Amino acid sequence: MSNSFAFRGYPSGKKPFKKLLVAAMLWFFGRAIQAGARVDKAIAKEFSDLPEGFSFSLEVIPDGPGMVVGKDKKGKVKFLGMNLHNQEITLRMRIKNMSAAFLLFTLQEGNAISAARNRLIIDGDIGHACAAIRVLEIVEVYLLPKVLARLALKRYPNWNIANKIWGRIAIYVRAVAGV
Amino acid sequence: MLVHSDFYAPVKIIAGEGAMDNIAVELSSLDSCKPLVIAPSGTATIIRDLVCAFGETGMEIGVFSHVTGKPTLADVKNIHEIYTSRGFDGIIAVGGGKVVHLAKIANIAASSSPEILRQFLADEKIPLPQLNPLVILSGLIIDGYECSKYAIFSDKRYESPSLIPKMVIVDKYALSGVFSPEVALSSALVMICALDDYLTEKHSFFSRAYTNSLFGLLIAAVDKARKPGKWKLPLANSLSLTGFLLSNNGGGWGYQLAQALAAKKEKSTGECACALLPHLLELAFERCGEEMGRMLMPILDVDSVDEVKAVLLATYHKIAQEAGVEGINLSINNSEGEEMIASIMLEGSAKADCSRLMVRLSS
Amino acid sequence: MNFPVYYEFFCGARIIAGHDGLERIPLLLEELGVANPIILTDKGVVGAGLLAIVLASLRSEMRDVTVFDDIPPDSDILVVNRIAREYKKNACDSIIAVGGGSVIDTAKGVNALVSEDESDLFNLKGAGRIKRQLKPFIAMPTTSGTGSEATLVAVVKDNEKKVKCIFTSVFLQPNIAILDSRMTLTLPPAVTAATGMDALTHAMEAYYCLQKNPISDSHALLAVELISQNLLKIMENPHDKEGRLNLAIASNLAGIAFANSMVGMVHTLGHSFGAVCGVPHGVCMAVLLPYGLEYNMHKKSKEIGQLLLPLVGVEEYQKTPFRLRGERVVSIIREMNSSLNKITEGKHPLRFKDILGRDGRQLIREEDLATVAKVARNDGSIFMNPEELNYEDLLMVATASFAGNPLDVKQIKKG
Ligand SMILES: [Fe+2]
Repeated sequence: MSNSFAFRGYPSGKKPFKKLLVAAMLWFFGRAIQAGARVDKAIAKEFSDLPEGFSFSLEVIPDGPGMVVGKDKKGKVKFLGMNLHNQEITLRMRIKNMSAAFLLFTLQEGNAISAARNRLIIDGDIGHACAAIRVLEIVEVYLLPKVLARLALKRYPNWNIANKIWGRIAIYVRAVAGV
Repeated sequence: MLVHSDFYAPVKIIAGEGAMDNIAVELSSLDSCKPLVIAPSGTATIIRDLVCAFGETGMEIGVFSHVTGKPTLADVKNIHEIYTSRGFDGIIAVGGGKVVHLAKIANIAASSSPEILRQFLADEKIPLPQLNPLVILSGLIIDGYECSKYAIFSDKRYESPSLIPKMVIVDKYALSGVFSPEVALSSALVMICALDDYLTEKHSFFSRAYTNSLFGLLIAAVDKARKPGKWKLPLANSLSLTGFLLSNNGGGWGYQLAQALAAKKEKSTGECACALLPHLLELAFERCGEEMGRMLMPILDVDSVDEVKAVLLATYHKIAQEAGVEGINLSINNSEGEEMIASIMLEGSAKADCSRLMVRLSS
Repeated sequence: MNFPVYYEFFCGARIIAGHDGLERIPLLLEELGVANPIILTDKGVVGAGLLAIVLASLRSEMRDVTVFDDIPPDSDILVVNRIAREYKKNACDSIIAVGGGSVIDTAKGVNALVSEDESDLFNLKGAGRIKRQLKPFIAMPTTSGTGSEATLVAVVKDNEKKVKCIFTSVFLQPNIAILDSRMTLTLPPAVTAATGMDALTHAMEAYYCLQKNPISDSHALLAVELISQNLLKIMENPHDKEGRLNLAIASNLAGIAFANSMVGMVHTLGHSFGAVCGVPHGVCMAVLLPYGLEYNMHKKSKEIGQLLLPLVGVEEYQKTPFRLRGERVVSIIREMNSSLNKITEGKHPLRFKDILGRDGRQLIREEDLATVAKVARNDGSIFMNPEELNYEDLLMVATASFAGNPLDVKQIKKG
């Protein structure tokens, strides 16, 4: 019988655990960027070079989770939450799928490497994306122990230890407190 | 090298860690959001992973498990029926060989109409309309036609650029099993296709680029055949590239000869390829050993032409050994040899080469 | 061979190469099922008599096809919109682009616009917005360099808003690329030199940057070999048809390689010198390539060393000890540039300082370098470069290439 066959339909397989973890990491990163912009000069400078009203998202295809960070009218950098729908976003950085996002946020892949593997789709101005990724990289250096951040970066910056530790504490405290 | 050339291999390759996870994004870039999976039996685990890969998309995936035998019109009818009645808009074929032939033919009926398929089967030259995307989730056992413009149906080889799949996905989760004799025979076919590019006149810089990559991938895979997890991705990758070459040269004389011998001697094409390989390698070294060496040195990461040759020979031996056909003798007599040569209609230097090879095979 | 953790590869264009490639056009149009193409080109191509050759290759009843020959070198969205209107007005059904990067990119934009039935190209901006087969599109490159006939990207400027819009989709690639030796036969020496070095840069950066993969590698190696065998030969003998065709093929191979593996810092800084000072792209590549190699040497000495083989052949490669191969590649590129400089009587510059503008004055001033470095930070290619580049690094390389000094190895910060 060459025409014997079986047909079945399946719903796509969801990944609730990965989604939860990715959402948590995105939330924390969003808050940390807001905090970083107050504490670190380089992050502040990156944002001041970006246009007024600029915002960017880091999100997972097809429908989040994602976080949005932007500059308000006074140029103050704010974490704008996890809602991707009801706000205008200048630059969208979209991770192709939940598993890729999971790899990225569990630092099994660094930013540069991840981009090299085509995990990200950038929707918006490439120059803005370069700035946003630099911000993410600086935040990584603050938040992560050196062994981990080394994995994420091509070159671990040569910072003054005291600055880094104070900066790290300040960003952690602010990120958790949301100020 | 021929500067006059015409090369076409429009298959997107997505390979490596997380390749399958990208399938939803890739399909949607081809405007498909409800794929029908056509899979051979015994692929339940792969299908589970595949369905999982669609993750949060909420896409609905249909799975048609084709159970046995060569593809038939009845299979095509079944697929067409399911495809149109449930509104699918793309096909994913799992594995290689028959399943892919079936998927290619069924896609014509499913994304245009059974009438157009009928016309096509009567005359493959008719222009086909734009078909919905066909994606291959690569397996380890192939016949080489997967990524080509060919499909074999009712023992006939059909040809059309529309039969070329849009994409091939190479992911370790879809590559199950060990480096079995069957896998080794697939590898022998791949090697013959790559050698053909060096031995036949019908090549170009473009086919040569793929050929060199193919050698690199194949050799890396065979070298690690006993190391679990190391050989599958490069091997499956080299298998895909075989279709790129076949599409453009229709099969060089080495490949054709292997096919002709297989028909004559009731052996598999892979076994006959194994029997031909040592002779073809020798011929290629004589003819263009320097060139092969120069091109493959950086790819194989070796430092001399002789090392390239040694690596190629070692690869052949390993393949033959894993396939369990080392030293296979096809016992061909002179008249059979001539018949073979006549059957594949060779001309010029290829004919002379082929005759020499047959003499060696028969002695 | 190292199998990368992940990679993608795609070349959707059918590539036809030959001394009489154009003669295939009527048949190809028939195969594509179209009869009324619009031909897009620029004044330079018309002036060189190339449009006439293309028109002559068409069937007689097609000789009065619609031609738009006014694509400027800095083509933008207004041009695209204008051509799209022309296309619709004349009920065209396909596109033939004859030209360099600007013409082919404009044609990609036009194709997106007329196929997707959009009135404004902006709506299609970004990645993967174009999801369907577009109108049949044949590209005929007239420079052996840009490789834009092989890429999936269209860059269209909006000169009013001063922004560059990037469109990516597998469907933007031409259906067919025709490489015909006649199309590059009359290319002036300085342009041949610069575009040839652009192609060489594509191949080399594809081979040592972060997104290299087994298939882009073999394309890159072949391209390097063809360029090293043919570029100087053509410069000496511009009418060498075989050499011209080989170079066109090399440029296409290099285009395929970098379309799939991207490029690195030579393009990062090159784009910036282009944007800030108006230096032609190929010239930037030629000047910067040795610096890109030097800067990344500590991370990619094996890959860069391997590039010596297609440059010099087996014998000399084997004679060069492993650890010296990379440096030898750098010096060969510098020697190539010097030869090109001599043959073009100085028109092919060796350093940015020497480049003159139309008015005969020095085009780049030392104080521009800071801006160049600043702008370079925002070029996407920076991510694919093996070694990190911050503002100071970029300025250091820009300064060295301005003065024509090799990089001071001690100044390269190793990550
Ligand atoms: Fe370039």
